Amino acid sequence: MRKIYFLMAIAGIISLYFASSLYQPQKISLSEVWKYNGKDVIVEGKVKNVVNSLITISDGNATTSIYWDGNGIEYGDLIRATGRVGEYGNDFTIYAEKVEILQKWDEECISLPYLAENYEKFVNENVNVTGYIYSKSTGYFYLTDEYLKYKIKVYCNSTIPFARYDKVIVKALMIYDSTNLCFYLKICRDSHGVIKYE
Amino acid sequence: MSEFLMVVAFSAMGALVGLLTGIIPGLHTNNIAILMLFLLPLFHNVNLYFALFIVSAAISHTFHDIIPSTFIGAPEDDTALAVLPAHSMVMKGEGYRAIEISALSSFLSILVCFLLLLPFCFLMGEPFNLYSVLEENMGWILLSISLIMILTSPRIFHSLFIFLLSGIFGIFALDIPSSFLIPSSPLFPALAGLFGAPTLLTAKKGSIPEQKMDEVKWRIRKRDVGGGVISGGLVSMLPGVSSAVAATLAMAAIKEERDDEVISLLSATNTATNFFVLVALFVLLKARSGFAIAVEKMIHLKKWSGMIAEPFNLFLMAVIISAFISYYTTLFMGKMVAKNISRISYSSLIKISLTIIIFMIFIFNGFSGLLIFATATFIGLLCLEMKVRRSICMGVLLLPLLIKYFL
Repeated sequence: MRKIYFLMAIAGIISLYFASSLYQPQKISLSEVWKYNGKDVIVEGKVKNVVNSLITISDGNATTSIYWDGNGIEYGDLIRATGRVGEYGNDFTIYAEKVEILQKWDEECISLPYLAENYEKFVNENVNVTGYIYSKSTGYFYLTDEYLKYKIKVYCNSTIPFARYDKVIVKALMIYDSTNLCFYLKICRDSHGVIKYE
Repeated sequence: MSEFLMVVAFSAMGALVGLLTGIIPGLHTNNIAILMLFLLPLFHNVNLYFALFIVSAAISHTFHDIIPSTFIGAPEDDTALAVLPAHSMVMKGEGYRAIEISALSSFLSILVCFLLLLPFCFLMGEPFNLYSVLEENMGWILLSISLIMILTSPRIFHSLFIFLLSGIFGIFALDIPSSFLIPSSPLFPALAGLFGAPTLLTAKKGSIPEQKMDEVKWRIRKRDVGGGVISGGLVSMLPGVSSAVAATLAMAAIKEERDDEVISLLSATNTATNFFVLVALFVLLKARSGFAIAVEKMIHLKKWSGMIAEPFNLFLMAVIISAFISYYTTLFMGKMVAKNISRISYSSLIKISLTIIIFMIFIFNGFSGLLIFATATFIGLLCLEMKVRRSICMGVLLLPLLIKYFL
């Protein structure tokens, strides 16, 4: 009997090995990450923050952090992470084995009114906004929409070569200034800039 | 209704739900916690009461889960090691006594937990911070437990073999997402296979003796309850370590031979683990199990230091209410089952028990659960055949944890 039990146990373990390799991790929403501690999961969301290897993503309802040693992730990218849920400090994080960029932040071009009316979705994200130059000054300019209803300040290091009311695309990081209770755009990375709308 | 009455009412309801989760094999308070989180948005201003309800159910569960383990050999992670001694007591007509010992040990462990609450908080939190020391050295602690278990076995090489086989099985089995109709972990089929089914399949055929209901003098040993509380307290603080490891730690530290002493030790460990999971939530602000995570999501936690203030005092009240109700309901349910169990033949009981276990595994874990259960059963049978101590099968949890800590 001993041999039979042993062989059956080994057959079972081999079957479990193949069964585990067939399973795809479950895709979950960010609000239920805590339920899957120790399990492999797939999550999707927009990048809200990147500090060294720790990426914070949001799906609009909840946020979670992803630990990943990789490059190329920027604020505003829509990503899919596959990895195991574990603890990081007092919270849960996903130790990602794989991170895919589903949509780069600059693939989506939005108008200034859309940004103004959906600002909560874009705070701390890179945005790709179309609008019109309203006024220029050293180190910053104002962007407005075609009816001059909305205006937003855009900080940039160099003077832009555009005239008033030129239609442009601004690639910048959207930031909330809690001291002055306002939003602004900041051109601060290599991938940022202002180009003429063709 | 006054706040006090609401606390009592929700604690009592929680205790009754804990009874249900305890006596239904495979059902866990974590399932109830998830359900309560789902229901929470439908009600106003009940967060605290729902949290009390969950804590009360978690404590009550630890009292009642000995009943299926004893009579039908269907273990939870914390009662897995108690299945064999409890079942052998049933075959001696002492099934009700096993329940009495378990209920009293769980109740006494709550009292000891209250006595050790302050010293424990000082040790784990400020100023001693033993928690950090334990967390940093958890891998070594688990390795020591594993080595003690193997090296103190009469058959060291056989024990090492079963430990590794169970461990390799655990690495694959616990990695499979096996929730089927109800969210659950693959731990239930694994433990039911390793500890429950082999006991039933290899039991000598015959009839179940009438269970003794008379008053027999027996006593609970202080070291069993104390050892259980300390093991539960240590393990409850640590991430990724279940109460099954607390039970293994307690068994390794206190080498009990008698069936009743093993049950007493494990029951005290089981209840103390959940008590200290609650304490860890308020002292370290760390949620260490499913029910604690649910509580953390329901209420705003305030770190407890010094005087016991709200809401921690309300949770301690819920624990007392739950323990008090659970003690009597465990005895009542145990008596009811013990009185009637000898009316059915043992072979029928085995068939009924295995049918219940397999049915529950299918409900919770589906076909992958059945595969886990079958494999675990063969490992459990091999363990019996090689005459190796059953606690060695805890390699199913220990080896994956050792790999996690050291690799």
